[in-house]
Order: sequence, then structure tokens, then C-alpha cells
Amino acid sequence: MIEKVMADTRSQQAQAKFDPDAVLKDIPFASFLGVRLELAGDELTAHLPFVPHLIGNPMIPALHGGVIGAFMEITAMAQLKLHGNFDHIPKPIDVNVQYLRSGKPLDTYGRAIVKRIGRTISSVEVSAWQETRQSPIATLQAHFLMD
Amino acid sequence: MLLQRVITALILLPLVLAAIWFLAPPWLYLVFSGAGLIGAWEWTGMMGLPQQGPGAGRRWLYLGLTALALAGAWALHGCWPWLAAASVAWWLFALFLIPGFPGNLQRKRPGVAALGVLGLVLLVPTILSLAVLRDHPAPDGALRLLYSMALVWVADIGAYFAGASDDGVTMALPWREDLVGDPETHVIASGVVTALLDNCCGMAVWDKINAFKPVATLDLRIDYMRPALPGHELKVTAKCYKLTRSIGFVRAFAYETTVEDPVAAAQGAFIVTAAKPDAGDVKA
Repeated sequence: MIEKVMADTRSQQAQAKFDPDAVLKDIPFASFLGVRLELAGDELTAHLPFVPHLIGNPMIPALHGGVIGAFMEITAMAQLKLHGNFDHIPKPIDVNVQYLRSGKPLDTYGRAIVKRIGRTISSVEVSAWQETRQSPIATLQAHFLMD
Repeated sequence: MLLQRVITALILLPLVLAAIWFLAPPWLYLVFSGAGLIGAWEWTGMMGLPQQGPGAGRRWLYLGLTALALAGAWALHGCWPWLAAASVAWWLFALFLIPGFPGNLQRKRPGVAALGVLGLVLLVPTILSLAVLRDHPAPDGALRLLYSMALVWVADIGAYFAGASDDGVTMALPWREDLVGDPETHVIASGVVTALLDNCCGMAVWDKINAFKPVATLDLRIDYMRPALPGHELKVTAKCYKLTRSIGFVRAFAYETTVEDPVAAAQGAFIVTAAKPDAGDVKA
């Protein structure tokens, strides 16, 4: 019981220190894509506003697949930072992306679930959607190195 | 590409042969010097001098310097053996460098001045030695020169066919401040590597189908081996090793200097759709 209370306090402290804007401020590539983070309670949603330079296929037109992958990677890293609240950026070991639907020229949202957070390795799943969360445009599974 | 090379060779070969046979050594040296100056121009690109903009004048300066060195080398008859000795010394040193390549280049890239001196040592004695070889009464001198050129030509042709491997498509992205992922180390963001790998894999499929059909990523798996080196150009080589009627399977590596030392590896499956894509189901 005491342990649980202590864990809750720790996670509250972590959240108190977590400033979603500050996480991405120092990452030039996140600003290049224009990624924003929105925190509601302990639920973190990454938001990629549509800008024309993110288009990969001008004929359909569709968002660049690499952009969607990179966006989900940033979502996963931000979620890990929310959980662990370390000072550095977690390094990806491997990343697996499934593309399910064409990315339309619209705003994209991403949410990550940390499956396991360990001392050296964590496992994260991300899904990205546009119109409805029930029909994701892509999903990602990744392992990150924590040290 | 090969056809263009063959045609160029067929036109240039008689011209070079005629020049070797009929031109007097000083004139031949002038012709070779022209080739040397073209080489020097290419060398300025390898030195990293800017091709356009305010710094572009330095390329012309280097060209002038090379011309001066070529003229000087011809004028100083007494120094020819010394020049040849310096050239031999350099090549022996270069031989010593080869086993360490490209690791030694990764640790420390020579400065522009050092590369400039290197270019002169490479070009001037080579051009001069060609003219000196010819400086014997015909047909002796011409034959000597032809023999040495034939050696180079044959080796070059062999190298072309040995080098025309089936590695796939290669793309490169220079390091940029706004693509950095970790401001402390200035390492480029892993997302950039992901995007470049995805793009290049798609290109490899396109290269394989050899037709204008939309290609969409189905899935992509990426393994990151190490951070990319800050300040270095990142290259990606992707090969579509199998293409079925609708799916292309691709393997790719991201690296700075050689595939043997990769930053990341990727394995992907791509769907090749018919000419008109169904925008609702696939991502492009």
C-alpha cells in the first residue's frame, strides 16, 4: 500500500515536471515537422498540423510515409519522457511501421502506449490517425535504449 | 551510361592517338595540360570548394595555380627527376594509407589546403611524365607513351565492369542543423533516417519495376546500429531484391562512408498499385 502511494507520488511529481512544450523545443527536427504535444491529465497526444511540405506523393496527394514514421517515433519518445522523466532523449533500437491507409493532407494525431519500461530497454506502441481514432493510418512498434 | 562512354571513347581515341603520334612534345604537353586542368576543376569539387556563390572564385584560383604549376614544371627541366621522385614518394605513402581507408578519413578529413597540395602532387607529375615519355625520337617515344596509356585504359575498363555492381539505388542527405534530433550531440534525428530509408526503398522498387506506377509502403522495419555522425553526409543504398506482381521486397542500409559500417538497416515491403491508385487504401 505504502509502495503504491509512493509510486503515485513519484508519477505525480514526474507529471508536474513534465512540460509538453519544453520536450520538443530543443529538437530541431520536431520543429521542422511542426509537431506539437497536448497533455490532458496523463494522456499525451502528439499533433502534426498539415503543411504542404509534408506531402510525399503530389499526385494522390498523400503525406510522406517517412514523415508519418518520424512523427510516430517522436510520439513514442515524448511518451517515454512523460513516463520516465529523464533528461536525455531515448534512442531507438528498432522501429517497425505498418502503413494502413493513405495519409491525407490533413492534421495527424498520434498516441503511444508504453508496453514495458525497463532499466535498459522499453517497448512502445504508437498509432496515428487523422479523422477518427478507430481507423488509424499507421501503427508503430519500437524498442528504445534507456541509458 | 555505358553507351555514352563507348561513344565518347570511340571519338576521343583517334584524336588522342593522332596527338601522341604527330604532335611535338611541347604541344602534346599543352594538350595534356588541358586535360590536367579539367582534372583540377573536378578536384576543386572534391576539395569541397563551393560551386556557386561568394567562394566560387577560389575554384578559379586553384585552376590558375595548377596552370602555373604545369607551366613551371615544364620550364624547370633540371627538376624533372626530383618531381618524379616526389611523385613516387607520394604514391608509396598513398599505398600505406589504403589499408586504413575509409576509417582514417572518418577520423580526420584533410583540410582544403592539404587537399589542394595533394591535387597538385597527383596531377602535375602525371601530366609531365606523359610528355617526358614522348620526348624520344619517333616511333620510340610514341610507343612508350602508348604502352603506359594502354595499361591505364585496360585497367580502367576492367574496373568499370568490376564496379558496375548491382547494389541498388543510393541517395544522400547532407547534415543540416534543422534536422538535428539531439541538440547536445548534434546527431541527426532518427526520424530523418527513417524518412530517408523509406524514400530510398520506394525508389528502389520504382527502379526495379522500371515504369511509372504508384508505389506505397506496406511495412518498414528499421534497426538502428549507432547514431549518425554529426556533420557528415548520410547515404542510403536500397535494393529491391524481389519483385512479385504486386509487392516489392526491399533491403536498405544507411551509412556515411561504407555499407560495412551502417548507421541503420531497413527491411520493407512495398505494394505496386495499378496506374490509378486507390487513395483510400494505401499510403504513398
